[in-house]
Amino acid sequence: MVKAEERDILVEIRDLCVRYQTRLGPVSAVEDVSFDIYQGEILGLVGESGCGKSTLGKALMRLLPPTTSIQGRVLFDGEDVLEFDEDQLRDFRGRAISMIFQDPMTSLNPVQKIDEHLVEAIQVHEPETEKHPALERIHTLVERLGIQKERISDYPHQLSGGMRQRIMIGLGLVLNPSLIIADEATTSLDVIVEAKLLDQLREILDEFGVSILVITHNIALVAELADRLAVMYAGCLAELGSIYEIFDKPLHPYTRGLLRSVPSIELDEREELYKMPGEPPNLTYPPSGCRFHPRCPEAMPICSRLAPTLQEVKSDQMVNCWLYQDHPEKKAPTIKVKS
Amino acid sequence: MSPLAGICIGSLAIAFGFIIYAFLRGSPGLRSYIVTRVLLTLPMVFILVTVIFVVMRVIPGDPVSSQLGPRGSIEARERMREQLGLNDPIIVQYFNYLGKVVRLDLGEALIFGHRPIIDELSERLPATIELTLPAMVFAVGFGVLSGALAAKNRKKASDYGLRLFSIASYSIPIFWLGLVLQVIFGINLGAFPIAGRIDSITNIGLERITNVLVIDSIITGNWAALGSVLHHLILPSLTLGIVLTGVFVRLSRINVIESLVQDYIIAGRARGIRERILVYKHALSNALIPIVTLIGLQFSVLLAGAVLTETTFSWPGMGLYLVERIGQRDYTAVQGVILVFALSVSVISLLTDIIYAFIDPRVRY
Repeated sequence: MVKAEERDILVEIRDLCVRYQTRLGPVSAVEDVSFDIYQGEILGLVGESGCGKSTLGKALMRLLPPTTSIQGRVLFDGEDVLEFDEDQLRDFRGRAISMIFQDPMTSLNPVQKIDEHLVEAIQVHEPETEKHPALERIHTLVERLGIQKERISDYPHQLSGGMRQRIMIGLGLVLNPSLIIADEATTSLDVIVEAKLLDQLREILDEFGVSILVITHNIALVAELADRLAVMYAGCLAELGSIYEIFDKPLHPYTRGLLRSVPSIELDEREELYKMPGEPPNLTYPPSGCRFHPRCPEAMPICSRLAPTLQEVKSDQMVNCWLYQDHPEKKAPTIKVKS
Repeated sequence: MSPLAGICIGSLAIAFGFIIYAFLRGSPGLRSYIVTRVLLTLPMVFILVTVIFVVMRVIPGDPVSSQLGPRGSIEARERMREQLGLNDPIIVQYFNYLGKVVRLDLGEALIFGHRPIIDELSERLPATIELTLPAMVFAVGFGVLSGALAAKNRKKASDYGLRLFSIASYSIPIFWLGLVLQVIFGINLGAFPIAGRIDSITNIGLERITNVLVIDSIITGNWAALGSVLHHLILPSLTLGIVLTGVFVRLSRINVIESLVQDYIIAGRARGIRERILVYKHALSNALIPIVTLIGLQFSVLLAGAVLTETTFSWPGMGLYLVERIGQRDYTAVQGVILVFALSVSVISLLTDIIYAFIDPRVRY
């Protein structure tokens, strides 16, 4: 395991805030999120539905509706993506970061053939590439993904879900981007197809040296795939660290609850699966202080007044919780974690 | 061969040319669909022809008394009934009529020198085609593109402007719009003629081949005539076009807006495809599918509109002819016009269905 500090940083996300404007007022979907994505790693981003993980992924590519306010910095190779103009953005999307979407059924243009999608993606960024050499590149790529090259002159509806998702992955890879954001990319597939695809994703990662941000609610999938894990709750990062550390010893009360609520084959017959009390908060009126405090079994008086920050408590593990930090109203002892 | 037969055969040749092209280009599924759809058209046309026959005999009034008037003697009436074959059993009349229709023989006019209807229509149909084709092209072209523009600039000034225009355009009666344009551009500004197809002086020098004057003047190289024809064409076809545009603006706008929030557009944006291409290529090509259906449906509105436009602009086409002959109770003429209208609507609907299946790979029935 390579130490985090020794790796090259690919994307640096600092103080990212995303607010949607709605009729009922602004919704703060992502609040003060800072983390790095390293070169060549798989970073899993997990959380419940509506916790802002997809919003975060889309914000990295500036794919949110124009009325959304995005603050903070997203540094990619030292340049701030949030400052890009239209032209820079177009050049950046697809070539630097690409995205694999949730639903392969609706993410391909139904009246465009598969090869036209791929050729178009190449020609958008390399206008001088002729159709023929582009097609040759595409043939190599799709065969690498396990699709016969004859099938790519079909329309999307003629392919199965698994094939379409491979095509989506191919579309993500065709320009050799440095980062692929996979937003629930395998959710709509059955487990066998999903497992195959995951193996392929990992092989591809080793081969091309790309980083992948896997956005999912499926903790088991992340455990299988990712090097590092970021846990998100109600728009904030709760915990961030190496997958081994977090699964071995989760620190944030939310992470602990999340891991306990995953069904396990070793579960005793009489033992009931843990259900986290309460509901995720309404982000139009987020709770004061730490956003998790109304559901937290270990909440302290400070938690409802002040929000903690994400701080490193040991190497490869950062947590966003007063339990592990010195705070102004310290009454209970702060837990010291042994490195 | 009469010009009408020439036009019918010519346009059918174009239609079947396209059908054969689609048949050769298409997948096996598309092919069997085309065959079924073409075969289905035959009974449809047969039913149409029959309905026209029945309706003409069921409606009140009869050609003999409308022609001879109330003072015609019983003998004269009887002679005429015999002449027109009205004394034959209805089933014999029906098969005589069918036989004539198949041979493109629509009978003779009951008034004004008893000219064959086919000759009258060969002068009138080209005029209607010359009026309606540019109107339809304008309505579809302008309507669809400005609908896409409105969708792209949603909730901006151009969107509101186009929406206002589209509502206004289809709530205005054709004859009123025609009159207003005549007053403004024809009379006050004097920029365009307000009636007829061509200046009478230029008309004398123009040799008639197809009776579509634009084509005739191009074939004979008569550029003065071409100028005059286009000059006459602008106001009436614009009137008809504007009235038809509104529906296309609205349908195209709403479908492009709907397409623009689809995942494949967001996915395309994430691959760095230009916004303009996303709107006018990806979203519009998906939005075109319902629009093609609408073109087929609007074709009957177009013909109805042609009747009003031709009346407003004294345009000597089928519509004006129909209105005149209904007034004079010329049943054979009315029957002929309705037959041509009905046949063209059924051919157009055949074509739109095939185009629909051709551009949307998912459609198979």
